[in-house]
Amino acid sequence: MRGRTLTRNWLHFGRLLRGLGFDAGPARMLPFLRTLTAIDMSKSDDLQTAVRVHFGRRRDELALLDRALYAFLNSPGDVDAARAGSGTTAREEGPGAILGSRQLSVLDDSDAPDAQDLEVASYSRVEALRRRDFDGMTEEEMAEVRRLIRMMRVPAGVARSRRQRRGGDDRIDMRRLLRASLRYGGEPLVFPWRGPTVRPRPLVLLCDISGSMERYTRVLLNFAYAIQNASARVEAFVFATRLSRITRLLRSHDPDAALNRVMRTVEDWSGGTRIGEAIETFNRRYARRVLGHGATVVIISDGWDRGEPDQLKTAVLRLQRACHRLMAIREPAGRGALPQVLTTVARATGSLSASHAFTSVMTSRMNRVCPSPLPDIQVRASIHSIHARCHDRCESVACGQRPGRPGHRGQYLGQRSAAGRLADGHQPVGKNIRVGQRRVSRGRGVRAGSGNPQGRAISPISLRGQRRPGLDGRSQLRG
Amino acid sequence: MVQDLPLFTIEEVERELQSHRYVAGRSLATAVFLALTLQKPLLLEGEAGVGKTEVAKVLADILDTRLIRLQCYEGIDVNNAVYEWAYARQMLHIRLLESAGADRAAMEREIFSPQFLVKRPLLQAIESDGARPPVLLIDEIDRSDDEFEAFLLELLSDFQISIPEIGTIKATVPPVVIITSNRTREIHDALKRRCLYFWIDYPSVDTEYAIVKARVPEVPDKLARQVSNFIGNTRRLDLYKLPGIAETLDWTRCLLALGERELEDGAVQATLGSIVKYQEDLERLRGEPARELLARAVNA
Repeated sequence: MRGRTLTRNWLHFGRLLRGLGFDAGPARMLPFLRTLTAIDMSKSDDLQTAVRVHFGRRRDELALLDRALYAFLNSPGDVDAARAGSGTTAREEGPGAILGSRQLSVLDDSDAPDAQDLEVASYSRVEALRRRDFDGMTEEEMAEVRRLIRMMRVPAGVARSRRQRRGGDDRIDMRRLLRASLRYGGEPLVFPWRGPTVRPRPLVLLCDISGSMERYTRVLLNFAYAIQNASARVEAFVFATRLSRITRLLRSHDPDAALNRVMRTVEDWSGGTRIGEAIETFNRRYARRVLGHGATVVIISDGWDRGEPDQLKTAVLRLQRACHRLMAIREPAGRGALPQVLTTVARATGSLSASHAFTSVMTSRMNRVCPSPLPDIQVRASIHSIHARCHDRCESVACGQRPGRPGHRGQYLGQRSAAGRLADGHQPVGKNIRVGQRRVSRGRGVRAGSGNPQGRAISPISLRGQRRPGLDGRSQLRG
Repeated sequence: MVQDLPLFTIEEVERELQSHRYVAGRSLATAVFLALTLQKPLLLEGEAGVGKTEVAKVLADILDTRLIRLQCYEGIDVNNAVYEWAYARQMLHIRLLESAGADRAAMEREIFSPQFLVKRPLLQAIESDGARPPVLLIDEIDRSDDEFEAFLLELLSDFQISIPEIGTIKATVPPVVIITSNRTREIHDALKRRCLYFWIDYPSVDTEYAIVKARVPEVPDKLARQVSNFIGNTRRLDLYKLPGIAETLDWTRCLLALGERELEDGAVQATLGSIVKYQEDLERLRGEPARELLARAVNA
């Protein structure tokens, strides 16, 4: 009898955890209840460990779990059973209790460093700010966001994976070879091949939301939201004076809800900028966790930095070494061109080889913008990164040569607009564009050639940047 | 439900770990005890060098059973993790059968029989028929990709593997599974749900002292005490990569190799590279900061 009551009380604990956003469904509750029979519950340390091993998912959440357990064990005995929603009216003994929203809010007010990662309903100190900046999106904006999502290809490029798949030309698929040869009395007549797969690189966005960027904040967040929801492998951060991780906050079907969540959680809207410090925080706290698997990092900022130039330089250099590629997008102060930049990016990445178009549009923009207060390092970092950091090979669609080699042109293939100019305002780099266009217009593909050693036909699709699986897009498109 | 294993209480687990020179706090002992009792995989997360992999090794020693280790990497697949056919031998065997005039059905049966099966770690762990289940260590799972994680889901809940040509192989006794992650990416929640989760933190100064004494028994008390103080204070600094226990032990051995009986400036400056492994961190520590840490470690 006592055991049953105990179980029921612990089920309340499960409900409490679910309310806090933990996964405390039957799949976890049952083993947990079994655990309680195996350990001595009077030892609170063991109990705490048991709760942690069953419900913990991330280190950041462990403190919250402890507090939930503490609150559960120390809550007053009389429980409002009706509020518990259990349908029973019996008063239960022992430590069972359902915490009211007030108590939950005590729980949320966690001072753990990563508390902003937790998606817990909380009362915000920036409510006023939210009203001012973010009273819902207009229908127009919603449409824009939806359009962005549709068009979005994550502009982080692709990486060769060690995972192999059928087809391709990397090595013989022995298993299928054997199967096929059985058909011919053991004679290997048909040679099936295996090849590497490519997978999109993870993308990490670092967005400046300081005062000088105020009017772009919304666009930036829309952009982050769109890109985040177009691919699973995007991490988003915002910074002004401090850095906040907003990845989990953005994950939602409803843009308004996602952005409101960000508004509530992030605390330094429209503050001063300390880019160097923010990047350094990123390097220390997050780099190892989110830069794995060859991530591409994009910093979006106007470059008005109030911090130490030296700190910024060191931090950027370090970040550049830790990621596959670092790109910086700078908003020319006072020109209001950032929204166009982002739209251009979306448009370009929707139709062209993503990584390349993104970089080229961005670099050309950066090269043209008015004198920037940012130290020179950032521009160099990104230009350098295009040519030197991509496995020592230029990723330019039209080039594909090693930098410094005779064939290396370092030019880019931009998106042609109706006016026949590149989307970023540059004139196309004649030859490359023509080659690309001719092939596209022909549509039937081109055979052989130095850059096409397999003699495969190139489909127009591959020229649009959706690389044919199994073929290295760079060599395929080499002019 | 409670498996017939030699460990019945948390205290016993703690004692056994200790006697195998693994100094674990009570909470880790509890987690290990629960993993053994509930027969659930134990997911260990923590910074590099805090002794995650060591837990599995020691556990295999304690249970007096085999340790089967699967080192994960990006793109690891069934061929590397579970099984593969010995293609060359199969080819030769086909020739033999052919000259003996076997028909195709017989040939296929012969070719895809267990004798041509190359067993990789996961299959070995499942198939093990000894009375004592092996310890299966899936190391650094964060290096593998989503596809492999998804594959593990099935394996870890049912402990069975199906090979199309042979059939389904199910573990008679499920192995003790330890999974480690350095958290270079988040492990999917679905996988975490099947595991018990434990975060191994950096040890306190006293625990670290005990670890140094247990792992490097020949170290003088004084040096061990100073080393743990020094490292403990170093971990409070704002470094890119804080030294783990592995670094502490390495450093202690370095100092012993140099014939040091206690910490002194020259040797510390010369061996800083075995505590911090980033150039920036080294710059930060070298010279005055290290001397300061040293003074605090000696006077503590």
